Amino acid sequence: VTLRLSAHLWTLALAAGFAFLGRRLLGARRGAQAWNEAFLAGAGAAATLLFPLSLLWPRHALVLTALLLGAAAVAEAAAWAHARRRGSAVEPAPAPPPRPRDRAVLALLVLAAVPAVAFAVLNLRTSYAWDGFQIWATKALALHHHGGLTRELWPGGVYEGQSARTVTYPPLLPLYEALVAVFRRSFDFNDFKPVFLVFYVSLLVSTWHAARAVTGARGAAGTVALVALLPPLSTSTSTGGYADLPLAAVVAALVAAVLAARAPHGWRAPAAWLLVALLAVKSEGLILLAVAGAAILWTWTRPRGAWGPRVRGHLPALAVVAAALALRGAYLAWTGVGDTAYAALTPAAVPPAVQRAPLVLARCLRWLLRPADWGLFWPAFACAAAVVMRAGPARLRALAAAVAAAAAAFASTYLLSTIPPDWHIDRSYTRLLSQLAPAAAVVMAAAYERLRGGDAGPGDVSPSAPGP
Amino acid sequence: MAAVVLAAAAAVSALRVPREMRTVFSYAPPDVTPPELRAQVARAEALLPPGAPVFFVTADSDSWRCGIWQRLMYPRLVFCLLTGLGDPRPQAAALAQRFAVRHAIVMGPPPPDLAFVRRRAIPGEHQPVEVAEMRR
Repeated sequence: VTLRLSAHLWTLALAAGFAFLGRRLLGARRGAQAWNEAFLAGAGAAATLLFPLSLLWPRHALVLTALLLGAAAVAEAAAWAHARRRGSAVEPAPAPPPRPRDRAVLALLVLAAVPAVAFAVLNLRTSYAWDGFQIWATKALALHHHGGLTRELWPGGVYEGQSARTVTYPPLLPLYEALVAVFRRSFDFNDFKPVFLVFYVSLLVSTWHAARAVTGARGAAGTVALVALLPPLSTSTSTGGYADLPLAAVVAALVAAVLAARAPHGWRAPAAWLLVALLAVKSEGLILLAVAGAAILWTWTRPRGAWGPRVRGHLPALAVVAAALALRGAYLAWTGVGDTAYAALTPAAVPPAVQRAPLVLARCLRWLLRPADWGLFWPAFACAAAVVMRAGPARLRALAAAVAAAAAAFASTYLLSTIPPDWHIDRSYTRLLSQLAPAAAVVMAAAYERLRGGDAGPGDVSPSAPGP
Repeated sequence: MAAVVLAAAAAVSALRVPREMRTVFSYAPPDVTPPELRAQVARAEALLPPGAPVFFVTADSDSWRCGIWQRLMYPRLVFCLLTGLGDPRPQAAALAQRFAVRHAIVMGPPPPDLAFVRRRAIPGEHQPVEVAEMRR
């Protein structure tokens, strides 16, 4: 196991920097989940801003991002000093969570800790799997070398063929890695593995808070244990530097934010900034944003009536997401690199797609139900979704439907794959499903609560408090 | 029901984690760019004109090892020629003309005739390579 103390310290310092930036956006709130949300929101915002900064100052965008995080840290310190002078200017702290005196809770958290420790060991001992090195850390290398985003991965990179498309991949993870290199004053591929420990902890913290919105401490601890135990999240490519784990962390935080929201937050809505972060981590964040966006919009229609006033309360948050979408579109247009792994959805592409649909369906189901990866996870999710859909509150029904829709949407992308679809599915579908696993586990927690006669309804929407 | 799902996940994890630990601690290199490889790259760099594009010729059929050299030599342009995927000569000719490639790093068995005229061996702990100059 490689323990590079200064790489760990810079990784943590940068996580704090992202969180300080996030707190400027979301407002200063207390509690572990508030800091966790701020970290992901800040990282998403910094990654989104990297593109306009790269246009304006192509050689200095990375350093300017580092300065932005420094400025956020100074602002945080000033706010803290101001709050101390005035007593307490920030929002009062929520009541501390009860200590887990319940032995079952403790046992479940210990059960979660075992795979978490295994993740930490595997993550630090393994160097990189393919994409972690050839794509994500390489994008960080180019970003660090050029000082900003570039239109080509390599100069003259047309030869790279399939790899050239990676230049269009969103920059959150490469940005984090490149910033570690900036502060370490040298680029060393071996310095970046601590970054994944941060995202893993974030994933488990968000899962706990999302589950606590629908069930008690015992159910939440079981949900955390379930997520931690899943091999696709604690072993394999998650320990190889892939971006699926960071994306799963954002998904978990988004679910927690949506279930916890009680009133519109305007442009400071955590869910809006976490939707922005979805776009900033991986290309399929666009699919997740579309599915999550549709689910959230649907909850605004429940209960029926007064749709207009509800939407008006969320217009600033919608503007934040729309701006991020516009920047993502502009970045794709700027690189001018098409995604050669997928055919364009033209009328000519439809017949071959229809023809391969049975193969794609069968292959995806095979990976979805593979016991060696998931145990009984997805069949259990299907049962839980049925329970929640029958009698759950609107937000939980939307969440269950969104998880199922996202799994189907991910599968449908293989219909247009230019790579042999069975090969493509074998190498990626499990990773894509791992992004949805924390959300699926929260649906299971809600169903568990409902079946044992508890109230899984904190996520429901009241007419006066129209949600995220 | 919840206990069964959790127990199944625990069982799957109990099987997978030890297996992965064994594999990782037995075979996986802890360092993707070990010092001896970086030293080998530095020796190759010293034999090449600064910034000149090069071919990386290997009998591999995937670009993992070439990718490592590409990244360690960044921002120098390194073009992978994978003879394990077929005859690289047409590709090499087109690239040599377009990017004025005059040098190559050759790993493994001698490739098909790519018009190399001078070769200098660079020993390496894992895999020796040769730096070759191409006939003009």
